[in-house]
Amino acid sequence: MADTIKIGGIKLSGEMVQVDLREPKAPAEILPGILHHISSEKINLPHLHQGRVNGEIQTTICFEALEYHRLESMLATELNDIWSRILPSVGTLSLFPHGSDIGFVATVYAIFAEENIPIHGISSSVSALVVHTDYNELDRAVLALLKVYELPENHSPLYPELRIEQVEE
Amino acid sequence: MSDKKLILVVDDDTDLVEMISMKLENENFQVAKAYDGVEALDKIKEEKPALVILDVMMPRKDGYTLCDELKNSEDFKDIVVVLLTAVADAISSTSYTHMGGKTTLADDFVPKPIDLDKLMEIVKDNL
Repeated sequence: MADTIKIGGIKLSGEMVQVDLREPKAPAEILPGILHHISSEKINLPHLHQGRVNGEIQTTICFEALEYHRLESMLATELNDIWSRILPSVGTLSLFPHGSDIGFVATVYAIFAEENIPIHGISSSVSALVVHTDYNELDRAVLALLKVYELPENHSPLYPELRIEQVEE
Repeated sequence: MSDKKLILVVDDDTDLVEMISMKLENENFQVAKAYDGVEALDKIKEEKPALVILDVMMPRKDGYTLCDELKNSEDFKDIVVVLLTAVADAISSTSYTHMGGKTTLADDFVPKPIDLDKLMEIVKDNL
């Protein structure tokens, strides 16, 4: 058996709905309205990232599945005239630290591909590589990754134990 | 053997751990990382840091609990503990926190959002 590579940890999200939208140019016109609505309604925003696809700015936003009903009608209006897709039941898997190593990204891609686990998005922060997949594939993804990567002996829990809820003052 | 002092950074926000670690390494410290209180205690036993930068709200074992355990332990009471607190109000004393009057034995506090330069001053002042 090949030696495994030590990493700091893996974190999994709760079940989310992923919304991808594309706007043709900057500055964005649709996204600020969506973010304003989220803020004023005190809805949590677990994940947001942006990139470029075919010259357009693509934004990926993930909402907690149990909050999504509060956004449906707003999104139906706002996303009417632009390319968008909505993926129900998505989860994110964060591996850290990535150490700014492009080989790390390649290895993770290869593991998902070999196990035929879908990737609905990928992004990185200062420390973590974040992969979006089907929520019901998260456990299988972890098992596949642990054939290559090794967690610390007493590592922190993979699934979130705390949830922050915004309340009216 | 390195002369650099070892600092353990503990927070469940992995990006914050990374940013604090990079700043500490730039200031010529050695750094170890942990992402909750249980993992932190393992690292403390293994690596005996000179100072621990410790978040308060974490899964499994929070920062207050870990701080109390360290300060009440013969083996670890001399480790400097700097708590990272998400408190809007200034804390006037290092023996009192806003958490319902809960006392803590931390050596110092840094409020979140963290000013990294201020954190470095506090680290250097306490070592």
